[in-house]
Amino acid sequence: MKAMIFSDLITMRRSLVQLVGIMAAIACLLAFGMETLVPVAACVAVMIPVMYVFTAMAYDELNGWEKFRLALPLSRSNVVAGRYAGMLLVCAAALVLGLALTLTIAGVAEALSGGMGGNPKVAALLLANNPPQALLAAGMLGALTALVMGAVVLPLTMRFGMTKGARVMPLVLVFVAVVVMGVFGDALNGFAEALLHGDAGVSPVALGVGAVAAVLAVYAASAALATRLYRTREL
Amino acid sequence: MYDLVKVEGLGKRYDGFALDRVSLKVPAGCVVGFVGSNGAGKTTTIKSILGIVRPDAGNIALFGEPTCGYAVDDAASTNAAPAVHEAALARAKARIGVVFDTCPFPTGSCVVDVERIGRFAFPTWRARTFKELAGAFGLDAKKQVNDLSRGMGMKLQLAFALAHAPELLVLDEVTAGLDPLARDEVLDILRDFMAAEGHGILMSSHITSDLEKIADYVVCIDEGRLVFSCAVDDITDAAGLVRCGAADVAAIASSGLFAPGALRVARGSYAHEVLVPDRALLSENFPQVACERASIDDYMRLMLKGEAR
Repeated sequence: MKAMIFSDLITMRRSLVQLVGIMAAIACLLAFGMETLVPVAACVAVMIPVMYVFTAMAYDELNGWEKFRLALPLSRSNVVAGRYAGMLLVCAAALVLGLALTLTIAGVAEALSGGMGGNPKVAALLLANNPPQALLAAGMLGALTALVMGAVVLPLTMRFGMTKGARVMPLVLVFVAVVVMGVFGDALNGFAEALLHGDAGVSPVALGVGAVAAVLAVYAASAALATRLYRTREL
Repeated sequence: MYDLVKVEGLGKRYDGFALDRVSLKVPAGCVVGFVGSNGAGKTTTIKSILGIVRPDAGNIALFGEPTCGYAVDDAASTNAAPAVHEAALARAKARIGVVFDTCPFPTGSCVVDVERIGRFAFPTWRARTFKELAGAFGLDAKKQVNDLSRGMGMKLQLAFALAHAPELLVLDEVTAGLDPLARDEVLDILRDFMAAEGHGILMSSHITSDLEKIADYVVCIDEGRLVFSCAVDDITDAAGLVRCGAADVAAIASSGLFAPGALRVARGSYAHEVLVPDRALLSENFPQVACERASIDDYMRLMLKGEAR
């Protein structure tokens, strides 16, 4: 599995560096455009892992790399486990990066606020106006969203490959969204309302831990499914 | 003799193509050439050996350890596909160097990245060996894989394949598309590899003259079926090719010198070609008939297209 994680990271190194640069620019635009720090970490935490996994899967199909990789001393289970673990690592790193970018923008706003008097656009980006809990929660939500997307997309591409998988993906994503909203929609709406009014009966920390546990369980189940599917894949 | 690769009754079915009970061996210390026309099933066989495709039938053992096969000896009679033994396969692949016909490393990676991938993939990786080979092949560490010519891409693959001290090389069309000088360089590298005891090579190629220079055995398949499997010396030292008229063909065939079905005859407008398994025997008994040395190309062509007599 280690070999697979590192081979992905080595392959993706340049793309990741470019992605970090692009995301830093987007983060600044988001923060200054929306006059809040809240979406910064969320955006970085969702975009980087998703772009990472899509680019890695696209690279798999170029030059016959995916076939050659199976000629290395890696089992098919190693390949799947490595891809999932790689995305998880990138997700965690992206969350940290997103929070670091958030703090950097806040620091710049802090420095500018002295010279620019009471400019409301700058003031909106001060940490005092952006509760740390909200920043962390948004970042976590972004990371968890990325993992859920990975959990849906990875088994498809492991079974069909990126080219064919991309054709099936919209259908599956719409199907999952419809089923989730159809079955749990009312309950989720009610819970969200209760959360907004502070009477959900559950602490934010417990909610966060529960969400992380639930998403990781879905992610692990997806990895198990992808392993089964990849075992029978013809390359 | 210890077999590095042992394939028995390998079967794989696709739409419009079936690999039908192909068997082959790569004994330690030997180079086995794997020949056949395009689409004959060579790459499917190699992919099955390496676990890239899942066989529908047959047994595969690498370095004496089963990597794909049935749990019991008579399971081949069932319709179930053989099981792939993932752990054994991964262990075996650590001892194999693989070279495909096109440079397979990820787009955007450079030579130094390929070295890093090898470092993480192989427990026996030797960074110094890779650097020495890359240096000898003129591969710049910063050079991107996409920018390498076909020959340089092949050399990069060879450096990658050799840097983890493999015991077996599996080469799929390694010399295809290379100029004669580059091909000779590749063959020299392979000869150096074979100098070590217990090493072996399974080498698929359309360039049979390369196989005549390096191979000990040659296995030919056509339309998914094994056509022949023999020592290269049986072809180049023993077999002969006769170009003659119909009367000579009839005389040779009815002479009783060769077992029924041992001759292959290709009929032409002006002359017929006859492949004989023993040219010395033919020349002794038919001194008036010119019999020349058969190449692997001749042998393959007549075995595939000739009529058995």
